[in-house]
Amino acid sequence: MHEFYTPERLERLARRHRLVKRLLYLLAFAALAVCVVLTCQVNTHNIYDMLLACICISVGAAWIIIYFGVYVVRDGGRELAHAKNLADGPRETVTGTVTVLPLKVRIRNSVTLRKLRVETAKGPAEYSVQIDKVEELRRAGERLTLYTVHGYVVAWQRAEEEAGHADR
Amino acid sequence: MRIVKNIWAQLHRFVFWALVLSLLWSWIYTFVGDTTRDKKLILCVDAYALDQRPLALRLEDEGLPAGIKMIQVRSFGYDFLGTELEGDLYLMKASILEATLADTPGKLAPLTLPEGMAGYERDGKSWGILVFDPETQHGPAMNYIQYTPLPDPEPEAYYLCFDAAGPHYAGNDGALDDAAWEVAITFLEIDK
Repeated sequence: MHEFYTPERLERLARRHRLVKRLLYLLAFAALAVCVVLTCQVNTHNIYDMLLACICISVGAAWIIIYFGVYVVRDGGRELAHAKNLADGPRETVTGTVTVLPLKVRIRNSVTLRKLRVETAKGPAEYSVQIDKVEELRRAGERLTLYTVHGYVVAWQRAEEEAGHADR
Repeated sequence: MRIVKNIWAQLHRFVFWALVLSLLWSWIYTFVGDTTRDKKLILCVDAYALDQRPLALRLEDEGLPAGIKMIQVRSFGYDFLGTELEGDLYLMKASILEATLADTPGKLAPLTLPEGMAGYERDGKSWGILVFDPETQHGPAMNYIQYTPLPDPEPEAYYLCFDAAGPHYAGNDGALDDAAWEVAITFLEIDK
């Protein structure tokens, strides 16, 4: 079984989340400190150079903070929260042919999901999976056993692997 | 490719913060690059062309009077003289000087010129120091100030005048110092 949210992975994610957050705070303070130092050295001769330097430093720092703030801190935090919500929920198992639907679902202040259709023996059913995990599912093949909590996929296994385990 | 896609998705934030920070720093620097009136000397110039910042830098390089932290050079026109224009020194054409004395008496301070210094005389008083002589077509700081339009059949004389309410001319009531006179002398010596 391939778990999406193993404790090791979540711990790694949390550690990275904390580290990047601290680095971004550090960068913001460093940029501010440099700008303050430059501003204190202003005279009539260098005022425009200092103004340009302050704009470049602060805008550069802001862009780095925005990029990593959005794609590492925000998205990482949302993934952690999503995983935490699913950690203690009741697991269900479903086996069938999995098709990834083009529909992208954006939950406000949470992860972005992709809808899956699973053709089971009882008929079709729809589930959701975090968008980052879709590639992994695609590579796994079509016949899968999915482990879900509240309709969200948290783990997967190839159907034949599961059958092999059962035979043994 | 993913990085480019991510950047594209956040472009609105990048642009927004670039604009906000540029405006913020420009606003901060308007205060940082200025000082209080008592530490600033303002030279207003009414000429055909003027390099304001280079002239201010040149005057500062020649040495600031005691108590003065910066010299500002501003461009102005006759219309400004009836307003709240706060200069210490005004460089203006003879015709504008005449009009100013007629229309806004009390705007300019009468001067006591040293022996041998040419000036603008009216009612027995001196009101300006001759800066640009139309006969010789020569004046100070000609690299920074264009005194005549080219070609000008009848170039005018220019005079350096002092504001009657300026805090940096010793002849005025409540003056803090005589920095305007010192800067005027420095100005007259530039590239002469």
